[in-house]
Amino acid sequence: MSLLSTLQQCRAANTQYAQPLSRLRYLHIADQPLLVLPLNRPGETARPLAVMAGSDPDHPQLFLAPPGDDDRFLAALAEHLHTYIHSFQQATRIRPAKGEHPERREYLDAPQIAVTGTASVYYLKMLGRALRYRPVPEDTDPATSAAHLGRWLTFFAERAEYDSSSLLLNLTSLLSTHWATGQSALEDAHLAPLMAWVFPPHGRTGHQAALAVENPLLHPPDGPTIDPSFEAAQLTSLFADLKSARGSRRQHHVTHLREAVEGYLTPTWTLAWEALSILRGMPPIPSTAARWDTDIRQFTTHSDRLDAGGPPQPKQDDVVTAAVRLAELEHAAASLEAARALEDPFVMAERRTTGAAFSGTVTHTDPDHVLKPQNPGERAKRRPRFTVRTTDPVRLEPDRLLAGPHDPAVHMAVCDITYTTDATEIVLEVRTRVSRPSSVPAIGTTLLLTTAPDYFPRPQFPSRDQIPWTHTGPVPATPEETPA
Amino acid sequence: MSSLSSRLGTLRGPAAPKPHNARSLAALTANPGCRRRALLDAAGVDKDALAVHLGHPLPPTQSPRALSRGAQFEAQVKEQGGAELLSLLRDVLHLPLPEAAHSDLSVIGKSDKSLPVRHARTRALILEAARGQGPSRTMLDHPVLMLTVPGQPVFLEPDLVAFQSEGVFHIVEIKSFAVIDGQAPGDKVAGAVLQGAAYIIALQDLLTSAGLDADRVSTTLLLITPRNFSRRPMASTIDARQQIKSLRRQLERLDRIEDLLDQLPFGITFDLAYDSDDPRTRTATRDRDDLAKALNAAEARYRSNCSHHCQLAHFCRAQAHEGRLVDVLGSTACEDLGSIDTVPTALGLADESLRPAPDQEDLAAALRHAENIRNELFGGAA
Repeated sequence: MSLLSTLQQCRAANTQYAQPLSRLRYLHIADQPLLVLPLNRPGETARPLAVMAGSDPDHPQLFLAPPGDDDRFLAALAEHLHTYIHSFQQATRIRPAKGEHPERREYLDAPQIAVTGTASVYYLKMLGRALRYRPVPEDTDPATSAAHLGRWLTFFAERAEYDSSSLLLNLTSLLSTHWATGQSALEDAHLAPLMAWVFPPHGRTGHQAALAVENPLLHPPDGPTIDPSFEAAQLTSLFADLKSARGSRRQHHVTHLREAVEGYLTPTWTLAWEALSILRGMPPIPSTAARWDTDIRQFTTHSDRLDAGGPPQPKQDDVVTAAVRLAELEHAAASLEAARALEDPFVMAERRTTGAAFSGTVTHTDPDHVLKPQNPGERAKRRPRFTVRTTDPVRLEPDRLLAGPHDPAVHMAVCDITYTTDATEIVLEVRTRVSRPSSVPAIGTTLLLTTAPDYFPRPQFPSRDQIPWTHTGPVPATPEETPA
Repeated sequence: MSSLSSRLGTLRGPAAPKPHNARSLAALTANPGCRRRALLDAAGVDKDALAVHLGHPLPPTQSPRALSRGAQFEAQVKEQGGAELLSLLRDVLHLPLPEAAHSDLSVIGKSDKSLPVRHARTRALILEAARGQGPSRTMLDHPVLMLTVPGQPVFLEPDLVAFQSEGVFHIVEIKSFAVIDGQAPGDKVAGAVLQGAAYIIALQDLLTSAGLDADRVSTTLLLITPRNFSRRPMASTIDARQQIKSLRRQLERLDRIEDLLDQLPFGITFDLAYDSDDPRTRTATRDRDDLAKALNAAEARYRSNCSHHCQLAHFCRAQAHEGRLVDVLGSTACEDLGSIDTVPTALGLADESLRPAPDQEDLAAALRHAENIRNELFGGAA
């Protein structure tokens, strides 16, 4: 968030219509993502009552777990998700060796799951935890078992911790990067009120539309928590009916339950596909493809680990894994931030409001500026200089490296800052790609500059046996009793 | 005190005061700056009925099945004289295991009418244990504690009070949310700890009123929850000192409610003017505009998370929207806009149609700058 988005929020409250933020997306939207709408059984932990899933907007599949039928439900759900995932495990390509990385085989594409919000991301994570240690029943194929599903869900949920990953899409959070509404983030976290603001029905303002969808009985909110009004109005009696019924009477009640849950989830299903198609219509920034490649690589690695019969993900990372994961998270967040700043005008504009970027006009150039050698053996270096004048408030210090969207590869260092009454003059020295024509812009050119993406080297960690015992943490306890 | 309670009575009208419970006391620490809620809560006004009458009811947020599952779990943990619980407590607290360890106070009665009796009995048993008299009792089941909130006794029902032979009392809370691999949802834990803090304060007050040391109540809350995805209970300890401190502060503020009452116009009331006494058939006859006007005398401070703890939240939100307050935009926007409290002011300062007050100059400059950038990005003023 920035003052710019707050201002857009004010404008949304004032006009009662959502206002645009970024118009470019930074995540990949697959042609056929798998939309997953979980509903938890009230009063239980990670025990679904139903899941609506599918990659065809017109043919949602409803998986229902009436009391006492959890195993059949899980088997059907696992089969559906595995069929979807397996369809990406066919076509491969060879990625040639690069640097230290040997040649390797990778899948061409990766599966993508979409959920409505942060609560559902957390729910899939918990469901993954609940399932992944389950024993595989004797007559089932381990590769499509519920335990296997748990390991896939855990994989997707872990990748969702990376802002740069598109494997598990959080629809409300993505929509909120593109539109400012006149309501709070708590309300924006629900799909129906957010979509009401962004696309109000004809003749209604966003504000009116959002108020209209607040009645949970007329507009069931997205899951995974079942709305208590719906529970009291329908579920309680349906559950009571099911409790005593056997045979065909039970079947009859199950059908009723199915209809009720279907009616509850269908509005969200429709909205979520609308949201997906809106997001897909947003043009991606150029680096999106590279981030999706990272996702495909992660998908390949995880598939290989499963194929090799590796153990399920641990309950908690040990010290070393946690350190590596933290470094990777930071690395991914920093590179995403840097890429968005240079590729998305809105993010650059946000940076200007915080003083991390500025827009200015070139007032003076010195393309042949030469640095005198510091030591006897050195040669003189050509380091072109130029001066930029800006009225933006600048928060920069000397020696900071800057770059701009006009040529992200050119990095300039701040040499001198002069404050005048109405503007700031900044002398910059070109440090990279000195000979490119774009490295010294002509006088009068308007430049947008922000801190250059640091060269973010992926941190190198020593192998486990190279780490002194002082830094490896306690020896993991022997596995406790079989987890439930 | 009688004048205070009569003034609060006027505010509430003839309806019986809605009693506080641990949950509503815990909610006092959320948004303490809201005068409207402070007054309504002090007077024991039924905020739910108020919201319904004003046309802004809050949809129910409590799942009936979750409630009954919670009760089931509590019963399961306590069954067979709390045998399972005792072994958990023994591990965490190193409790001794004497024969008659368990006293169930629910035998006196479970209805609301029995609360004062159960409270008297709880008090007697706890003081007996504290002074080392009578049979040793390790667990008091279904005890009733009491707090005085502006002149009104509030009866609190902790799940359990455990007593250590070294003379320290522990509040035990039984909750049905699962702790998975040592982690639980933060909001649920926070709620449980605040409720526990209310019990700890009540127990501390009980001991100090009898001349005993408040230190004999542990400020560490014991939380019994299902372990992972099973129904097997596990015990965790949580330091509640911070919550006890902030809840005490809010309770003291309620005691100073007279300052807030003094600022209200004379004779003002939030009475719904029911046409009969029967809660099932009565209808509220109070004029809505008149009631809204009365509520406006008590200034609200709407926050976007009010709906988590106050039934009047949607009414206040509608008012905040009508008043064009930035509060409806959520906490981030409020922080960004600092002392600017309405949307038109923010936009006016941004497009320079308004002149900033002396303390707003820096923020106004930042807003003007942001507005220029906005215009560059999205084209002129929309």
